Amino acid sequence: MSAITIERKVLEKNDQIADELRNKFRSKKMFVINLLSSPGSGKTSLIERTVEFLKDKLNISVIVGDVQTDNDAKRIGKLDIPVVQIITNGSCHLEAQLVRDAYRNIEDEKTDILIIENVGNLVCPAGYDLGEDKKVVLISTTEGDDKPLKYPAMFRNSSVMIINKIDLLPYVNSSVEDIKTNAKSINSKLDMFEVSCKSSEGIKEWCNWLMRLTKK
Amino acid sequence: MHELSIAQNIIQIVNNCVEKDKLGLVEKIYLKLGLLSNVLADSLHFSFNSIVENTPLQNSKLNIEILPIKIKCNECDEINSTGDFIFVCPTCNSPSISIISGDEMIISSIHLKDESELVE
Repeated sequence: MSAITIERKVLEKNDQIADELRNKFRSKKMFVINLLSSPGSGKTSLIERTVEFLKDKLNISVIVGDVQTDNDAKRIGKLDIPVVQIITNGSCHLEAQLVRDAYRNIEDEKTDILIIENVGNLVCPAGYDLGEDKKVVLISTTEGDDKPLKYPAMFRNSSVMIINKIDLLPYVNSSVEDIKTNAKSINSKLDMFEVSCKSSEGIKEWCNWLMRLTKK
Repeated sequence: MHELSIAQNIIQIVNNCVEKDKLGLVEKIYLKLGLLSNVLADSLHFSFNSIVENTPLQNSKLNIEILPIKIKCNECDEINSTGDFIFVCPTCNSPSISIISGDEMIISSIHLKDESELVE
């Protein structure tokens, strides 16, 4: 019996590509967010409201990942901004390599903010670095207040939590305060926003945060 | 079910580290997984065993060690281990903690049979 000691990270390849991407993003002075949530929380709606609010002030490009269909790219494309669809064909998360391939179709000189909409999933995408500046996790009031406790890695690895669908609060058994308390117990440094992508309430505050962090 | 992609990464690293004609000698691949790595050991075993079927690595097995989460309090400097996902210092109750380990996903070593054992 012989042993080879290696101590190598399983995701080293992904991390290398993510570092390459990070360097590229920085050299282009782009602010990049990795937008994460369960399916149906409102990631695409959040992008729509964000683009509508910021369109006259900043240039936004979007890379959107889905297991199947280009429905989201079609929706976002209607806003007349650059959008690239990644279809993962079954894979439950985006990897840095997929983003690198999609990024070739992004005009980075003209982009202030790049939003990467990940596949709807609160588990697998948490561990994959895409070279982003910030991971932003979206949760909606219809999902249950204990989501942060059920998916701790996702909320621990994120910098921002956005609570969507606050317009539905009168109809659902959900408390924004409980969501926040649960999230804080996992990650006390989370920046938090409450929005309704239906009524656009709270979108201004979220967009102001984004504008403060743009680099150009 | 990202365990399939994790298993593919593991196989790629083993292929890089072991000479091609010795892949059939690989017996165990030692893996350290932190509790925060979001990887299910059972699914990973299943994925790995499925992919290596009919390849030189078909007789190899994963040996998975699960590591606890270690947190260091930014207030009182105490270091504590937790098997649970509680991110509050158990000593002083401060929520201001840093995770010092627990999200690892590392291949620590690869064990190979001696060629003589293979002949037997």
